[in-house]
Amino acid sequence: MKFSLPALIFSVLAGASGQLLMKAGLLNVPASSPIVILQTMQESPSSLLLLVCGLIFYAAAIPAWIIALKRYELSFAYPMISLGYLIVYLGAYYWPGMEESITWQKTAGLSLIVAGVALTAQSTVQGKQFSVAKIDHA
Amino acid sequence: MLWSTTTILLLVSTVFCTSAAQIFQKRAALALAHKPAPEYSRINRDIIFTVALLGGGLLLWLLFLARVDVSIAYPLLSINYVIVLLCAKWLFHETIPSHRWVGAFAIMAGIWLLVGEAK
Repeated sequence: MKFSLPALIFSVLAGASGQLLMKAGLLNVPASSPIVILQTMQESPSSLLLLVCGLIFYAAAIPAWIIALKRYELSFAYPMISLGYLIVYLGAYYWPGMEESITWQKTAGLSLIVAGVALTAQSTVQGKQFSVAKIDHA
Repeated sequence: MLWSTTTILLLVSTVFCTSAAQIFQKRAALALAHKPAPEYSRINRDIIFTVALLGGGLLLWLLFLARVDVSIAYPLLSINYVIVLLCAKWLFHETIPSHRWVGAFAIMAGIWLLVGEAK
């Protein structure tokens, strides 16, 4: 169980990095049929490499998430995943070639989502709900 | 980006796959924590369902991601929280405290703001 917190942190970081890498791999791909996407990928090894790296990160986040869920309740773990949205928001702004916008409307939307996820995941709004919730297996 | 039938269908089908996968993942995690003897056959079955749903969802997701900015697309997956909440209410007959509905409303409001920024 001592790996629970590192597993949770790894899961969030790997999930967010995976999304950025996948998007990076898809940047120069026409929004079209899967066949056209595959053909474009064949002609662009760097795009394919980024996409595959993204998929590996994404896949690595899943077992880490299951390990984290063995110890942490969803009320603590779920909002941590939504923090990954913020990492992706900033990452997509700074990533060369991606350069997605940072706007007040997007920031407000993201804040509402992170707050909403935190609220939705709480088991109660009274008592010790804001402490790190651990599942007692004893 | 323009919202088209294709992008909306891709998003809806991705959300369906990933929401269903969440339920199987949590079931596997709970079974794994079962003392003294975890039921490994049940855990394996749940993990197979999870992997199949995540695999299908991932292919749909990549097609969606090729069309939409990732800073907008990724948070849209939080629709999952609302779907799972509705499943808990209508399929599993769980009692949902009111603050969770407030949270679900905040998520939907946030999504509405993000969708409005999609170009």
